[in-house]
Amino acid sequence: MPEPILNLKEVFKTYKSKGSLFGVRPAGLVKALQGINLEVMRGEIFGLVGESGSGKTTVGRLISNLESPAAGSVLLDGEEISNLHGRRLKAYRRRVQMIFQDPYQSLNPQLSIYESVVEPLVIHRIAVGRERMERVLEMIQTSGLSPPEAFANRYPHQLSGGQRQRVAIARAMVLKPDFLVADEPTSMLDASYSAKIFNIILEMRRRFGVAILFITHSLAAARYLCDRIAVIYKGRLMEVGTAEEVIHSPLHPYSQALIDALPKFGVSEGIPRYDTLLEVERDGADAAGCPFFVRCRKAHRTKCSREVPALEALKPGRYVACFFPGNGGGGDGTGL
Amino acid sequence: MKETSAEGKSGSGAGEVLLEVEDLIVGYRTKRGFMRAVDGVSFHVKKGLSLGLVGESGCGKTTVGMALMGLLPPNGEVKAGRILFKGEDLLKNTEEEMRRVRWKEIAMIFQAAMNALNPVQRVEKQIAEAILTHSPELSGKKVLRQVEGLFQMVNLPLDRMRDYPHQYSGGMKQRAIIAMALACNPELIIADEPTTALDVIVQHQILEETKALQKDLGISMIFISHDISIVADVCHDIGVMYAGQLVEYGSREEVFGDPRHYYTRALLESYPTLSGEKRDLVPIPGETPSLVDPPSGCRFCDRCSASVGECSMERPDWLEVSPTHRVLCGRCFST
Repeated sequence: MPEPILNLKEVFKTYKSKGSLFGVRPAGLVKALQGINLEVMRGEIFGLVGESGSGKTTVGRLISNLESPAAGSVLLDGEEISNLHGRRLKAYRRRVQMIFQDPYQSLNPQLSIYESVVEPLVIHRIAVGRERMERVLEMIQTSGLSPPEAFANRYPHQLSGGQRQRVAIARAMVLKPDFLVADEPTSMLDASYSAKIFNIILEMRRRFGVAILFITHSLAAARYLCDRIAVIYKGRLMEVGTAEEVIHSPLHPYSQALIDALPKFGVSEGIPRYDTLLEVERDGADAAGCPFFVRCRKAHRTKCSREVPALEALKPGRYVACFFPGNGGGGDGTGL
Repeated sequence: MKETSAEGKSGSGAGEVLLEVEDLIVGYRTKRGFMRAVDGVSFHVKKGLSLGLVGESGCGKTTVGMALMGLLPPNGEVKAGRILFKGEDLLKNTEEEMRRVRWKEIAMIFQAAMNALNPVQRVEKQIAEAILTHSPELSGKKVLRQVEGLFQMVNLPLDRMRDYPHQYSGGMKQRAIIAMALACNPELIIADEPTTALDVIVQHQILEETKALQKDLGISMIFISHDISIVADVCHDIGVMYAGQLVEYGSREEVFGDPRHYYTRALLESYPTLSGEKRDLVPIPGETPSLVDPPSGCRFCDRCSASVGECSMERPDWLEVSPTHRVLCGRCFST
């Protein structure tokens, strides 16, 4: 039995919005996450797939302890992380690392590559002298920057975007963390560099057994990298399953709409059409029901607008938050 | 939602040529010297069909678009070549003549177009202005009717005409920009990464609508993107660019069904797919060459799995795979 390393239990997160300058939009609360439950196993690559504003980055920030949840708990090896302080918080940071979307911003331009990668070891007082240096060079090499000596004394502006992201990975992995949050690490990069980053991530898992939360908007990238996938929409998980299950037999109408939206030539040939997305949103955006209700062709007028479907297991490991999962439907096909 | 497929045959037989670009060389004056961003690119666009220019950042695809519009930045310069639009060389035009061509005959949808709208003016007014600038004789009523027509064309609700841009979502702003590009009934639209910043579902809707409009109105289009799957979805003909050069050119079926240039092949192998067996992605090793001092031989040879000694010495020639499919690679017939 695989053993979980990270658990999110009924996690909620709200942000205060400032409202707009002339009061067109009033200040209020934005519900970024509404009851997220998920579990990541040791050594697993878990994909969190969603569109902008879905809350996927917020999940990553909560796990990295950069923010704390409004309610619910985040557990690493069964231990609640939100009330960690001092030495224990520092130990947590050593075990959980993060790589960000934009390698142009996440590296300090004044530090050489060596200085960037050695910094975590200095902060956590790991290894000294020659051993420290070897560890840094080895990690630069494992991140695909070879020979490492040639890169050690360069600065970020001398590297391409793909190379910078590899430095960011080396910096995160030099502590040999147990858990890595990778937030859209390739969305700013060209395809030929992305493939390299994907392969380095796989290599890191193979060599160090690190568990990874891979946050992405791309189902194809998630399929390539991930063991399991969760689809997130408006702060709720819609569907969880193995990567192949979610992509080849999606059960939630929203996941089905995501698959439909992919360009059909080449990358996704042979994938069926589900046609679950309403062309025009229906009324009921404020209704208390399913978050996807207003766009769902299959929705049932009363049931889906009044009640939020819970994320329930259809079979072990396969979860979906829909009253009418799969090919059945509550509506008559007209969307009403 | 309607699925429209890009129809029509590419090839020398079908369709009249609207735009012909010959040996275009465009560059930028930089501190390190003259950088040839586009180096000897030739292609044509037929009436009512679309050409996709695909390549990674820095390959020169946006520079091609800007040069066609005559909108290069101050340090940019067209060094050589011809841009024949309906038989007339645009590069010989004065700025005043060019202004008449721009928007009226050739319109452009820019990258990050959502920032191209004026935030303090109602969308209706901005589109009306685009029409009035080129047809000042029209009455206010006629212009308003045209704006309504454009809104319907791009699936924007008429009751949102008097909104300001900030009241629109990203997808709606992109639609407004498309409406503006269509405002003067251009014969050619250059779309530079028009959906890059959008979410997949909105992107899909806009691409489908763009395809339908292009087909219904018979507009020609140059579609610039880094994303192979989008270009393959939208365009009839494809030009693959690398380091300032076109390296492969042909119909969509030819370029993606039978890719011959090793860069095209490598690019296709570096994309993760959704269907079929999961295969290992093969990243392209190395980095793109400098365009200030480009290599004298094939520009891809340092990163190419099939290169031999002579590849780095001699500039490769174009080889014809078929009358409509050509490749800038000396070794494309060896496997």
